[in-house]
Amino acid sequence: MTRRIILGPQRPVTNLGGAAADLPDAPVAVVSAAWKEAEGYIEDLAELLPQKLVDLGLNRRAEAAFAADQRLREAHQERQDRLKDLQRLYRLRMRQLMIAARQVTRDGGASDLIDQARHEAVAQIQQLDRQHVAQARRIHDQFHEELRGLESAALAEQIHEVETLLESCPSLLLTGGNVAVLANRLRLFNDAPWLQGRPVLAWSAGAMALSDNIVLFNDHTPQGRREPEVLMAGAGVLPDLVFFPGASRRLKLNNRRQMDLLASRFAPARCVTLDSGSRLAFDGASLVAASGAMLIERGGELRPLEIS
Amino acid sequence: MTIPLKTFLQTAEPSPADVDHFLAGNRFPVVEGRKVTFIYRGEADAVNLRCWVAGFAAAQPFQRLAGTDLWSVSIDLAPGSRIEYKFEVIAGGQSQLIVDPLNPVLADDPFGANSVCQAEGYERPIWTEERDDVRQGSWEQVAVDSGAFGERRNLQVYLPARFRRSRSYPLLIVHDGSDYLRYAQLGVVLDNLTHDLEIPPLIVALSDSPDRLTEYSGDRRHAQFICNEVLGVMNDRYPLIDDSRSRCLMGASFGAVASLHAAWLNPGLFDRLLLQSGSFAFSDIGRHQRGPAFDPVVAFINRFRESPGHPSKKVFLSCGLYESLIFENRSMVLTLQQQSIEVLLEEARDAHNWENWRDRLRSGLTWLFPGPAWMVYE
Repeated sequence: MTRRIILGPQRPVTNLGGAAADLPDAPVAVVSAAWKEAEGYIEDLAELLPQKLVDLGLNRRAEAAFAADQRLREAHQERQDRLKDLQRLYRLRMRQLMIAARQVTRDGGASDLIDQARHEAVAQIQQLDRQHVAQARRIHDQFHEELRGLESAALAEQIHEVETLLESCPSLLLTGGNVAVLANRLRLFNDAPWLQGRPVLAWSAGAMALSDNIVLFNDHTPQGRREPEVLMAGAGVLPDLVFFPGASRRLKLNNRRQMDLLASRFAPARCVTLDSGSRLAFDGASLVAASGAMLIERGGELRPLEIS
Repeated sequence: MTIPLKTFLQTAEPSPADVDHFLAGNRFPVVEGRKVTFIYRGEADAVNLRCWVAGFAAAQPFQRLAGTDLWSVSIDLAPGSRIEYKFEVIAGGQSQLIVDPLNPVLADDPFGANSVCQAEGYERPIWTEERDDVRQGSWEQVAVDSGAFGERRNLQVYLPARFRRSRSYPLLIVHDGSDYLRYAQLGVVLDNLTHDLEIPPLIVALSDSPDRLTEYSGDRRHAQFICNEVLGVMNDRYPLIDDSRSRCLMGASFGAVASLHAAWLNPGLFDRLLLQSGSFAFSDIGRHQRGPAFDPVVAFINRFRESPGHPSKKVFLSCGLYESLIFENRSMVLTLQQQSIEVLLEEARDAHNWENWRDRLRSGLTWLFPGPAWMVYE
């Protein structure tokens, strides 16, 4: 079975080096696109991992392809604009549904009616989340359809070079950072084939990009809580899990009502906190080892994630 | 050893050495829960506490401690408050306003400096202070040949750290820009919020006026200057995002009026406004009582309230609870919301001053221009 190792943020606890022992003793392909301008500065990683590291440079390659092919650049920009509009419209609708779900829970009256109203309010949010993911997927698919028509030699060349690098790297490392950039770059470079069947070590944003749906969250923005929102589908190699890196810093984990709504909203997927020092190991999609991660349960309680 | 205030004030006729000991062992003003005690030492006929807080008597008289040259006055102050004050020392028929000699905390403003009283719970936000780990933006001077004013005006332009011409940026235009820089640490705040990914990298044009009470009070020449001339020059020189949601006007006091006025005359141009302690005076009944400088402001705000139109899509307002303008700013919320404009009003236990405006910058800028922190999971 393919080994996948998931970690929490690498500060203050750095457990990357120990986790790397589970990867084959062979070069590791690094995707550090989530670091944006700092992509490729992997000297610190090289000190932690015994394997040779090969950064795939997906940002740099994408920028090179866009610079060489105006039509590709314009098509990509148009896709990004559409995704931004979609996210904004989804957010507008979702916020109202979240307010309704919370108010229903707080309202007085017959408990059976409140339970039913709450159940339906959560179902409405789930439906909207699903619609949003499907619409985002359609926009991505349309873009890739357009790409086939464009037959961009510049992009094809970059993809070919990535595939060549991957031939000598049996395993993959996905860093934390900007999850939107990471997910977009993975998709541009046809991540699906090279994520399947390859051991992967990922932390924070990298872990989020491997799940079914990427969920953005922060209860402590300058304006206070911001409703969690689905960004887009992830690679889906670790299904039925939603990862919350840095949860104890970004979420009000003691707010049971809020955690209950979170867990209910994303059910049947399991909501898993990934704080610094957390480590999960999967064989394929099966959890085989867990430490430090917590499961957010319906009802709002937290308990250590365990192997079932 | 520190002598507690209560103990000291109960001391019968303390000696000069006792006074010295008391002053050396305490920080002033003395904050004990909601009670704040101001102390002045010196010969005088009378001493008053002067602070500029709406609804609070302008002068609070000190009492002399018998047998000493020490004066004190205590006031009740809500937690989290921040007020600026001076002492009025009256001696020999002369009155003099001075900063509190015992309090090193000062707030500068264009008129000099005031002493600052920080009530229990107030802390200067960490993001307003310069940090070694934060890369600074760079500054350029840009001249604008203004047909509206018939003269050359200069802008200070802030470019974010790691500025690249190949990228496009949102634009923020700031009224009273030099004062925002000097008294509200705008440059430091921009550097910090950008570094922390709380706002995207912004290009910021800082404008100043040689006659702000005229030009910022609803003057069409100023609107033309900002919307045509400044915007034109900025578009020509810098890579800006061509989207009204990526353009913001900002200002405080009359600068907020100028921002609203320019956006009101040019709907669809600036869909972000950051308006602090706006001097949004109006007169529904009779004549306003705010003095002649407010005549054109009131005329504009009255017109605005009659037909607000759609000056912007998203407006951040902030105002101090200790300002007389709090009523006008609260009124503005409803006026804007009735036009389906998204509005956020932040109220603070502070007054009409630059540090209040500084302390609200994070809320305003991050609400109008949310940064990528939301997307970053390290």
